[in-house]
Amino acid sequence: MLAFDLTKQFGKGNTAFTLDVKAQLPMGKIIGIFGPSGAGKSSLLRLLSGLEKLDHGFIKVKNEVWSDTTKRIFLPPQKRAVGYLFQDYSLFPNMTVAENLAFAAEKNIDPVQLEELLAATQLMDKKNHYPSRLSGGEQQRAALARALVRRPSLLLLDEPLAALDQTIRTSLQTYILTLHERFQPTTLFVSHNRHELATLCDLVIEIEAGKIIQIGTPDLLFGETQTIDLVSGSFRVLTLTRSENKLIVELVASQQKIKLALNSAAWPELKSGDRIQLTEAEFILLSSKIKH
Amino acid sequence: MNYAPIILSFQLALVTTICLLIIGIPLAYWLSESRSRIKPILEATVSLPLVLPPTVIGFYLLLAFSPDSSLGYFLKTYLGLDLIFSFTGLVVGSIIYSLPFMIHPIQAGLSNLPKNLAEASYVLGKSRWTTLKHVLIPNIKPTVFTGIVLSFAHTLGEFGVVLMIGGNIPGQTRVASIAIYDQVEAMNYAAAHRYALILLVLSFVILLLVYVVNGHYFKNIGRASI
Repeated sequence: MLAFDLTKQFGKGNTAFTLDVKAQLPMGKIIGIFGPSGAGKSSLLRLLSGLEKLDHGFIKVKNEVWSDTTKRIFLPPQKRAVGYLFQDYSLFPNMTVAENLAFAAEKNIDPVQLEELLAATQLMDKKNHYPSRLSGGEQQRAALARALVRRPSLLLLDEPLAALDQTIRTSLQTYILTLHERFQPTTLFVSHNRHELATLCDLVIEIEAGKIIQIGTPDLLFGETQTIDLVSGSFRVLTLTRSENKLIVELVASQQKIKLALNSAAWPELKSGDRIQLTEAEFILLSSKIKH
Repeated sequence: MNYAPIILSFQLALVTTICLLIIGIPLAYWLSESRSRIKPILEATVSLPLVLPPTVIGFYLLLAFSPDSSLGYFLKTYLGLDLIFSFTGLVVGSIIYSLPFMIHPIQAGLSNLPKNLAEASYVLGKSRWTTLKHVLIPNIKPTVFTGIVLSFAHTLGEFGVVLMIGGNIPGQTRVASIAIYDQVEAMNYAAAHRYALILLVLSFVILLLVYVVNGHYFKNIGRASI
């Protein structure tokens, strides 16, 4: 689980902007971050990566605390298992593609793994090229391969397709999906493009003016489903399905049926007809939008 | 013709430039990154030699290094360093005097690099030192080169500071610029001219080298083959 509850003020005076967000997100998924310019999408990625420090709150990845202001814990970016793809890719101009990847690698990484990444991004024939000799799409793939070298738990993609034309965007979406399937990092993907988010993401967070206003599947956020009020309270379970770690429950909230995914271990005895006390942080909404 | 002053000038310029490179890169990096309140004070201090007459710097260094001062006493008693009228003193004075010529180009080069470049290295697990060594410095080679050459050339032509703290001891502190002054005072214009011409030609060649090498570097970047 990626969990954060944080606030951070950027700037001062009239230009001050506060990011105040809270979420619990499943690992191993592609999670879109959507919202208007200046909403705080990139700032959230910078806080998760440790490039910025929190004013208050915490960030936890799996069971590891990356940041917690009450306990004065702050892991610098070097200590976090993060891959970060910047909007301008930020490949090192003085290194070839292969050197960029080798620089990212820990000393004990097998060179075969680097070759595998180059092959997966179809950059074998460009591995001795400097970034300035690569096209936009090739640079993006090289930067993506470099971000994956250290096998990060969290892959942060900051509008990686924004500067590319539609044909290249489509082909790179396929690369992102393929690489995600192979390496399974929890991926946070910032984009303005609803279609892109719908294609790539399992879940989308919508941010506006520094606050999360909705979390749900792309279909739910961008589809025609009606928005409901925040689901917190006591509910009767209509149906219930258990899988390995997940518990899918159907219940009625705000006068409509909704489906939620819960952590199975937290509800070992739950059965149909029981009442369940929920807070917003405990579930992932599957079948309806949620309004915060 | 006695070439000792020319050789001494080159020795002084070389040692000073090496010392400045060692001090200058970390200091310029700190100045380019820091948001500390003392940063403007340090920047103003580094830039002082650009506006102060060299004799003013030389005068205060003379006072500071004198065995009568606390610093001079400490250096002599505990470190065995006598910086007045010695080559070591000239090196220390030259480092202070040429500091802005090394710091300013490197600081400007680092400040002009995209911030993301260093951040990309940090999120790849690399320390600040590794980032500086492998990512930042290689991408500001022309400005480092400019810093090296300007510091070297500036030290080569130094006069006021050298005269104040080094005096005029043959083989120890009599550098080319002092030798020229000596020859002019003795009305020996031919000898002064020879020293002056050597310094003029060397300085011109050094500056020409800066422009040619930097021009070549940027042309190569234009051809997309860094």
